[in-house]
Amino acid sequence: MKFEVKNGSFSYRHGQQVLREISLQLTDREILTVLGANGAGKTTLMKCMLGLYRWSAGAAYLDGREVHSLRPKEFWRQVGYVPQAKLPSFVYTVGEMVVLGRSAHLGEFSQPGPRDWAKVEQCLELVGISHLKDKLCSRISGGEYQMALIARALVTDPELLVLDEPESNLDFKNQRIVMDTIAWLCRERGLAAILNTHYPEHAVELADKALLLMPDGSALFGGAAQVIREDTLQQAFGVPVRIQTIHLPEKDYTCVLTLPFSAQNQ
Amino acid sequence: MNKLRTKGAVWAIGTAAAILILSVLALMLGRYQLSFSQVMQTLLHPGADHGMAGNVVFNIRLPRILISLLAGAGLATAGAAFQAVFSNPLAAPDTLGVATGASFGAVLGILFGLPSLAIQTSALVFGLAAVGLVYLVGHSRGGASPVMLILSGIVISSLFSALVSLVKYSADPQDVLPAITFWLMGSLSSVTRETLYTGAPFLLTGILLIFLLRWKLNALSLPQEEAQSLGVPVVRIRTAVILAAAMITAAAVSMCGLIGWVGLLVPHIARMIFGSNNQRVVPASIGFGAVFLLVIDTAARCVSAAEIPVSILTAIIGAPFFILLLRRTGGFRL
Repeated sequence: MKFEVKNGSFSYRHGQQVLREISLQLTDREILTVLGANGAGKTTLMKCMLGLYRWSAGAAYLDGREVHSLRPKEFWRQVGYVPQAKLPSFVYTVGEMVVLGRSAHLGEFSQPGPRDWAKVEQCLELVGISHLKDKLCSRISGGEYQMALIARALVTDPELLVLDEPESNLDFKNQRIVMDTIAWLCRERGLAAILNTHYPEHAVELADKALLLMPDGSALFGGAAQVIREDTLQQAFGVPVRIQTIHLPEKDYTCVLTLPFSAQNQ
Repeated sequence: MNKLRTKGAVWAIGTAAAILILSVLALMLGRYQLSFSQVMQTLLHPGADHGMAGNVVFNIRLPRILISLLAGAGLATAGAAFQAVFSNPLAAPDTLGVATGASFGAVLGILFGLPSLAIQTSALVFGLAAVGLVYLVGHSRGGASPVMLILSGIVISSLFSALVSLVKYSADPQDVLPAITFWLMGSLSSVTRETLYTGAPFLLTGILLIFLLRWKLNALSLPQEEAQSLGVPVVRIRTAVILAAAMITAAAVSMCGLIGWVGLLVPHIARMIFGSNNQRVVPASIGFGAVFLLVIDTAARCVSAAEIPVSILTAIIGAPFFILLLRRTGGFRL
């Protein structure tokens, strides 16, 4: 699997340009994190990459073929999308929610069969929530719901997983579970992943590659360590930043701190 | 899974049995009472001459019972479909203005003395126009919000009911106006075998289409981009479902007038028993809707000497029931 964006730009109809000449590449087992301030266009970029919005210039390619030229079903069998967790108006059970991920493999009039349900069981097992299959989505915790949405993206057997702020609104432990699951899926299952995040630390820890959206709509793309630096973060978020490394016996950890605005003036 | 399947089977058999028993009962009851054996004799030997009984059964009660079953099943299915497609628990043929639009089309047809097929077509066209308008008004970037949709439904609905009033105003007060007024309150009294033949195909096609697409309704009830990302051809399927539901509504309205509440009430009863999964909600709505309207219509023609309009009965039963439902579920999460 190879996913690429070449010179992608996006502007709204009334002319405001949100994304400017963005290029990136990603292959199997790689994780790309997308960082940027609120309103910098992270979600827009994601929707453009997935073909849900149309680029105003440039294009995205999956295995060398332009995303818009692929039949939707063909594309969505290879790509699993995990949207920001939001409960729908009608509450389904976890199993009913996850089996919807099989849609790309089924015809218009068909119903999910035993094979699809077996796949559901398998993916629930994979993310560790088999016991929740018959629970209502409204009766489980936010972290568990996020795992259910990841399972839904996995039942389609994707090669690329795209996640929109998967760890937002979650507590420390659930953030850890989500991040570890993504890392494990990419390492052990050979998936590639693209995720939007608000946490530079997660980007440094998880990601091979990072893309930092700048206020003017352009982006910095490269290895995570090259992109996530004090000066670039400061420029992107407009807040003073310090990056420190904590040496623990087993491994070094990177810690990203924001400083009070008053510290900038001294 | 298996427990659910057993529960579904039990309910399916129970509902089918209820439909059969109640239909026979409905054939017996009425101004001209028939005994069980009379009804059975007539039904089992349709070729023989049964005199008055044969006339009552085949020309009056049977078509009317079949239409009430079909219209009830259809309106409930259309309600379930609209609720899923607009991801809005309050969407229904009546709240979305489809019923009012269709009734304007039908009233217009009655005014001009059109044949019944033309009346149905006109009802369908205006019913679809009403959903289209509601969707256009209530739609904004990123989909139609539930509140906007309901508000625009109210607006469009009142626009069409004003047009209906205009037609009533200009109708001949001697014969056309009473016909329109009575028909608007919902009544199956004018149902004949011909109405059955022209209306039933529309109802059956619509119900069948929604039944076949029932699993996809679950995906459609998610935000549009989420549904698209599951590989569902959202626009195509949503259009098919809306067309089918509008066709059902228009056919039902043109045959039996405005019958409120069925499309709102029945799918919610189905959800209370089976949960939100449309794989079960749709079949359950078909069964319960049929039973519901059959019972209401039989009551409407048997309770008093003069027929009570169906809509009055559905509202009298529907409103308290819906209040109870709202209180029990603590209101809907909108």
